[in-house]
Amino acid sequence: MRTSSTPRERTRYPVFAICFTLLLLVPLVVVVATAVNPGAYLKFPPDGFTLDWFTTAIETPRFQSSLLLSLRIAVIASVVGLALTIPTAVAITRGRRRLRPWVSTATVLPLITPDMLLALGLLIMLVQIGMASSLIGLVLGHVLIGMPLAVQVLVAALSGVDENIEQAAQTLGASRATAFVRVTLPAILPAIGSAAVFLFIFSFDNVSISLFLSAPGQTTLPITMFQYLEYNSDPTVSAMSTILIVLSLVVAVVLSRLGGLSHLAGSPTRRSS
Amino acid sequence: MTRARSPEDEATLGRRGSWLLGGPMLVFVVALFGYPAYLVLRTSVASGDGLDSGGFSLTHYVTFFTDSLYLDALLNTFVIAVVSTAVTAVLGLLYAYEITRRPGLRTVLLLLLVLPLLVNGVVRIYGLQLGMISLDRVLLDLGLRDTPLGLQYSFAGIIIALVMFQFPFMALAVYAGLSRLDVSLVEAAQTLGAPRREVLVRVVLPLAVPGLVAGSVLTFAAAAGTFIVPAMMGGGRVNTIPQMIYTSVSQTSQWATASAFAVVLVAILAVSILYSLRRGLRSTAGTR
Repeated sequence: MRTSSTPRERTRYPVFAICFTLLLLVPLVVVVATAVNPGAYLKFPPDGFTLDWFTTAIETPRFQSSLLLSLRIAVIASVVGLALTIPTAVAITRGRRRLRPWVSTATVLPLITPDMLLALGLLIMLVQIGMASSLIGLVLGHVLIGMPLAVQVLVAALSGVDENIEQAAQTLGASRATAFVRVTLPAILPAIGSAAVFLFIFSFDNVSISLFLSAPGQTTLPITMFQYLEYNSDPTVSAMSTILIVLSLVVAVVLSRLGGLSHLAGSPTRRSS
Repeated sequence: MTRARSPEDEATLGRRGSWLLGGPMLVFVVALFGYPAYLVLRTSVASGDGLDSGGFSLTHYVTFFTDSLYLDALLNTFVIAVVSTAVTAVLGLLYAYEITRRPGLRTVLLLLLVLPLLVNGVVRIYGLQLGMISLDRVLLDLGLRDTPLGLQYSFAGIIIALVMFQFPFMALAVYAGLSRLDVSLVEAAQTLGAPRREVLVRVVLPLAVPGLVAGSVLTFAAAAGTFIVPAMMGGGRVNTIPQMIYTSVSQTSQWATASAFAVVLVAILAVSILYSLRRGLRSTAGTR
């Protein structure tokens, strides 16, 4: 009896699951490894170690301008997105019952529609109103993609805040707006942070919308990398990719601190397309 | 005491407040989703192929279903979506069942599973291609193969990429259902002499079905709608509808053709998903 418990204990580790999880991470490891190889060619495993390719990647004008453009658009999309989604989440959790299903349905629609259709429709509209190559279209398109998850995070947080506390503040003489800003808002600050991060990364990583709405010569980083990879693959693009992988790690740490990581896993997101 | 409040309407916000806060989102979605969707539908039935051509004709749909180039793309899209969904579902079920039975390292595993979801899709495909090239070199060096597999530009490569991308969603959706499984129940059934297969079908599967359906819908939609995966992994040889939509617009300015493709894509998705949802719900009802 005593000896039988030891091998049993050992088999409690899910061997297949561990192997498969690691297999999913292999591509990222390969990218990082090829970015530090000293030679001007892709080699895995690497022959040595250098950080020179990171300097080259950052100094490549195409990558540099795309990176800055992507960052700028992602920041604007986060701000615009928050301005849109915070009131929406309040309306869904505290608004009138008859309005709630309309608003929450509206926020889900872009999520269940293929990106290609959203992108094509936006492009036709922007061409018609003569704004095809403006950044405004790109920003609004990115907000459309990131908005569903942001709303979901905010609604979950707002549902957790006891409305009685807000009402107590009002009873004590605070106006409804003051009560919201000073009582409810601080309570959902982590969720607002998560929502902002989601809006940022969904914009920063987006391919489909950017592919249609980027003006030629003014493409976001994923599109520039996609176009670059059509004709070359070298340690420079591996280094740029590694920078994006590190950024994702930072985002993951921030999200897990804010408690938003579980939303990413449990919800239908559109990472790949 | 300005107005009586019905018990169903326990809103903190008044009517004006509700509209003021919820209204902008409704306007946003109508302007950036509703109207553009209408434009795609309208353009797809225009008589000419350019923008603003007006008129009404179904030429673009007729062309779609009569031209072998387009039908091939349709077939490819469908096969890619079905195969990658099936593979992801089987792997996701195995994975979720194993971490339910053997909880060691579960938290770490789930964290590592979610991590790649935050990495840019282009970067992930690039990494996968580099990995496939390395795999070929290892196989050649070891003398296990005489010719390279060439997975990095192939139909199989597209399936592998989609399975890897969608796997976390499938595994987590199935796990959400299976985590309600009482492991001692499975062990009791086995102790009492129930065959392993019987236990899986009668006890485990019913709990997994809702997650499998949800995960499959997601995977199918992502696989049928993706542009970047076949564009990078297919090496220009595997044509799919999303790629045709993009090339019709960017290279030949065939707006109506592209719009018709988009409408067909959405129709395929809607029909497949509604069908599988009905089948899935029926099978859950049957096993209970």
